[in-house]
Amino acid sequence: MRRLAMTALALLGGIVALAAAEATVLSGRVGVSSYLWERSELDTTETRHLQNTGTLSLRLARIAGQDLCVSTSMRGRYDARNRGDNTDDYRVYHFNVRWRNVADRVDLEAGRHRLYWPTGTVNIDGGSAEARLWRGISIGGYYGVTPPEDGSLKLTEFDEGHAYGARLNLPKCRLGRIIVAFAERRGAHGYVVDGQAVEVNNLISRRIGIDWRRPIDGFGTAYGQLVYQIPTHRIGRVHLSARWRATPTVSVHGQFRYRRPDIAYNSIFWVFGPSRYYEARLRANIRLNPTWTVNVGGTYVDFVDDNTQRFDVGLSHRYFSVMIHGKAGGAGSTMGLTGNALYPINDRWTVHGGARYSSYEFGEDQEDANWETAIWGGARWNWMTQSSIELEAQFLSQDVTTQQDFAGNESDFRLMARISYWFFNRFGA
Amino acid sequence: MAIHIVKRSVFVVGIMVLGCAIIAAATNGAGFRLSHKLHVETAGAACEDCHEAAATADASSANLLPPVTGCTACHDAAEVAEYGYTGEAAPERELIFSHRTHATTVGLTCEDCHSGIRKATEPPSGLPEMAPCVHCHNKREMAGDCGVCHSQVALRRPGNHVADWILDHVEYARSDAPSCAICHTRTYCQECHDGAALGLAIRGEAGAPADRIGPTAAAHEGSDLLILQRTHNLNYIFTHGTEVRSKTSDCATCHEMPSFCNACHNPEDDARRFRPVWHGAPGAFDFAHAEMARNDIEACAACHDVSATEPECLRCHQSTVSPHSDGFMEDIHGDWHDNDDAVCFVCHDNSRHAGQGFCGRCHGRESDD
Repeated sequence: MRRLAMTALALLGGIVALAAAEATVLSGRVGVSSYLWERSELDTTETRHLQNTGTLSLRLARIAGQDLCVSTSMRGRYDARNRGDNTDDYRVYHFNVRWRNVADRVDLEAGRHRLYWPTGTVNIDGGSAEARLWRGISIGGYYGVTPPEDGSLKLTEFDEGHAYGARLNLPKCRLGRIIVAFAERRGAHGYVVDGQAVEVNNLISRRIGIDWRRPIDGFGTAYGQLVYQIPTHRIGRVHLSARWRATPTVSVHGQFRYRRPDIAYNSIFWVFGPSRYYEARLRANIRLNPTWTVNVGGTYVDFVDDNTQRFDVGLSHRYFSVMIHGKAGGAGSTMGLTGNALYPINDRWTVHGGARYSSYEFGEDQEDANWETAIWGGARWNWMTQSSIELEAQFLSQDVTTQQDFAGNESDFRLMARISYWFFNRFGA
Repeated sequence: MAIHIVKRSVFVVGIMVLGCAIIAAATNGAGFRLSHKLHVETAGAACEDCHEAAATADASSANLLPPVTGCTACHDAAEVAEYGYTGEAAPERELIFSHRTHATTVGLTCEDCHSGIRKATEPPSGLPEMAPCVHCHNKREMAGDCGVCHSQVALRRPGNHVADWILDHVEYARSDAPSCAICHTRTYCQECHDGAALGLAIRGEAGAPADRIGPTAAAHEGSDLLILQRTHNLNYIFTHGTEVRSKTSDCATCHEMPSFCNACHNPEDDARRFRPVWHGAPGAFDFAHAEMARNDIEACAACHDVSATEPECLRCHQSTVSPHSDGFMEDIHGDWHDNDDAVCFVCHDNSRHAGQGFCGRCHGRESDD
């Protein structure tokens, strides 16, 4: 909490100092929410929770008239009914300076930020840069330590976790847009359980990733992704996809995925089991008119010794949707129905609600299907353009039985309230 | 069960397709045809000659379409009647938009937003594209929050955000990020892709609305077409096991797998946590685990790959049962050659001498001499 307060003060100081600069822009969003629910911790113990959450995102842009931006996003939450259980959680998602179009060629970023590259996403406390060369070709790289798992602003020791990578972006290749990237990440993955840090083995991943996307005239688009794990000399992931616009209102999407377990090569678990998964999906989306849409989809997943099939059929209107979804094969069968509605009463008020029912059969020897159901409804009031108040009530019920008892109530009633506010101000000329 | 599902699906699909066809037939209709090009370029009309109130309207709901009297200023009433134009009703608009502000205060021309309208030979099918809006409403020149213009943000979804969008968005996000940024900030992506945070956010309260920050997150697995801001359904914590085991989704996309599962499933010293059901009853360990390991080694690693504790697998596999298949890594120059900390040496003796121990399996044999 202290670190968070210091961060906020430092940021505020920066804002004040820069507020007078030419054409500086400050924008952001603040949200406060409360969520009240009851939960069975053991068969005989029930606890009530009131989780309060606050979120803040700030963005100071066009500093000194440049394409220079300071931004941050943070969240704090605690359980007001169970403060003694170390349920407090404060984290900074990102906090960085971004300077774009330096000399019309280079984008720079420093601080805590996340990168979405073909080798996978990575969060770093460090720096990244991307330079545009010619014909849209660009090269980029990043280097930094991995942020602590608890989201605090503390810098991780280099040996405890770091990541670096590079990429080449070829947007106008004859084959389409291609991005090739390399990344290495190593570190002791950790997490926090009830306030206690738990460390997982020091894991290393080193990958090459390729992304490819090509619009095809008269057809649609094609996409491919490949991840190659260097230490193990294995292809870790293949993703091929084709989207066919059969008519202006009908699109068909086929997808194939191959994946190996994402186990670091220096983990003892890497030597066990040559697991792999194949997945093929086919989906059709039919827009009957601007208001009504039908979608039908099916998926087949193959893994060692077993497979799974699933399907869904849905109908959606501007204000509501209904979907039937089912699964059969490995790990049991499910069949469910979900409905949702959202209706704007006027420019200020929106009401929404929904219901869901699913049945489950986890094994052949199960006599009666289990089920779960949920009903929810609420309203949102945009009492001013910048702010809204939202309320939602939820009723949950389930009869999922397994070899062990699940914690959680057979039925549960929950309440949520949230207020959010965004702002935008320009300073200077 | 599978046959029943297929039968029910076919029945339901049939009913739905029939219903949709009826709806489509009932809602289709021919529209009025008008050439802006003919009126503006040939006849020399100005925009405000027909759309008189355009420059002064403050609400998007104002009817800016010309009344019949606007047409009869140039055309014969009989000619207008022959075209069938009787004056269009104001289209339904949820936008917060003032023509007066944009035209008078900001000084924009009609074509700044209604691009190409002077050349159009057909009436526009709807509102102008958002690109001209975003040119100024980019969070630098003007506020770029969706709520600036859209009073019903929750209902606004691009056409490609269909049922399985959560599985498809990667294809766009990696190659078309600028268009994502029109509506979404980078924080929005991070709400899901910061796996470490999710480990704490969802534990115990899957689907908690308090986790919802962004405006229109798609639904998990397309099971909810219109549901807003919720990735997993409310009871997901009770049923997620079946999806994990059947590999119907790639949990690792969002969750930090070695640690996320462990946060709840590691039973040590905490009776509130749960062993996965496929472990069987406590103490009832059997050899079904081999199949589980082959199918889902990630799940094993999630709980058991913890430093400072010996992986449970080694209790048996180190001395009695080899975990390796025949020819395991025999064609690979593995890192054990260069790295004394290689995982191989957890079980194998790092002798560093030909003919001895693990190294001696390949080096120092007679055939090598």
